[in-house]
Amino acid sequence: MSDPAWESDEVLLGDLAEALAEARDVPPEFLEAARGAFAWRAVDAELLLITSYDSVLDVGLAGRARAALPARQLVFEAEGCSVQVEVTTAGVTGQVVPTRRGSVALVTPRGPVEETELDELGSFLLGPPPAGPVRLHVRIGGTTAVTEWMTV
Amino acid sequence: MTPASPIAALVGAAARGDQRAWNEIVARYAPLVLAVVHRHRLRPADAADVNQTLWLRLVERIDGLRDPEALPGWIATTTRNECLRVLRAQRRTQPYDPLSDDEPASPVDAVADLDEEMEAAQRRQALRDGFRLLSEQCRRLLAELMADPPPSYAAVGSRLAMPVGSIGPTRVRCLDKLRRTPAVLRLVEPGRPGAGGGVLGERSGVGER
Repeated sequence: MSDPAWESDEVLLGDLAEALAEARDVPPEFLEAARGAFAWRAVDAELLLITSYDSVLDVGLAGRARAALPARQLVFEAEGCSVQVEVTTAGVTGQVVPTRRGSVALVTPRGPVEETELDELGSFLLGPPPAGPVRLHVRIGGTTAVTEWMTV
Repeated sequence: MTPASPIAALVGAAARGDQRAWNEIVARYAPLVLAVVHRHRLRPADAADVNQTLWLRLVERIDGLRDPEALPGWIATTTRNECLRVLRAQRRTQPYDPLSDDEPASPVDAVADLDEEMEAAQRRQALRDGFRLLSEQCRRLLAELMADPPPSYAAVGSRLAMPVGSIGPTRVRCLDKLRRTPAVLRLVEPGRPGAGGGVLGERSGVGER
């Protein structure tokens, strides 16, 4: 991705001007939200569940007729724990594998909005997610696992 | 932590809880996030969500960041994926109108255009990162010279108290320094990983189970 055009002083100066203008144009509320995200730095060793599957990024589904598309499905995984999630306008359903007793909370950057117990199959049902980024806090035994933030 | 601090130092300090280091990371890379978001033409509320999600995702990973130098590539890729998620989720929930022509004529072309724009956004980030490391004299002179319309050397000379005859050679020297800053050189070095994911321990193959 090198740019041979930068051998020209005029082109380089022009591109630099564009780059610096771009930095001046960032709306202040975007900077505020970005700075505020730091409050969510994990201070204790929470287990981070990484997105291993997301149906909206599934190339195999991309060609399908829209009417046939299923609900948004996500799988989050970490060592020894996986959470399968399905999101519809009706709510967030899911299952924690392997099956364990515990609880799941739906969390926004403003704090938790809803919490529920896992049933004997490790399944859970939460209400519709609010707009904006959300994540799940899964408490099983003595550990808390958190999913990556997602916008659903 | 200053604007000239290397990114590795900022990342290390942020991982230890230094909010000012985090703010400097934000100041440095928010323009890159916004540039990628703008290319995807999201609704304003969606753009704000993608921005917030990106920074939340970086915060949760700041501890395990293996190669801070590759951060711009990770930011660009992750922002892009978030934008695609939003666009595809919207398409899924909107009723399909077979008469509408809002789909790109060729998805392949659309992807190629986007790839180019993503690279251009990272090139502009490299220029900002390089510019930050130049001497104050260079930064002031280049800032004057990039005004539109271009000012006369006489006007620039009097504003910066520089002999008019030294402006041309200093301009050449400063732009040359910019080309040789690490951020800009990284773009030129072949085979250097930088634009892809995987640098933060991110799993590849998301969505391809």
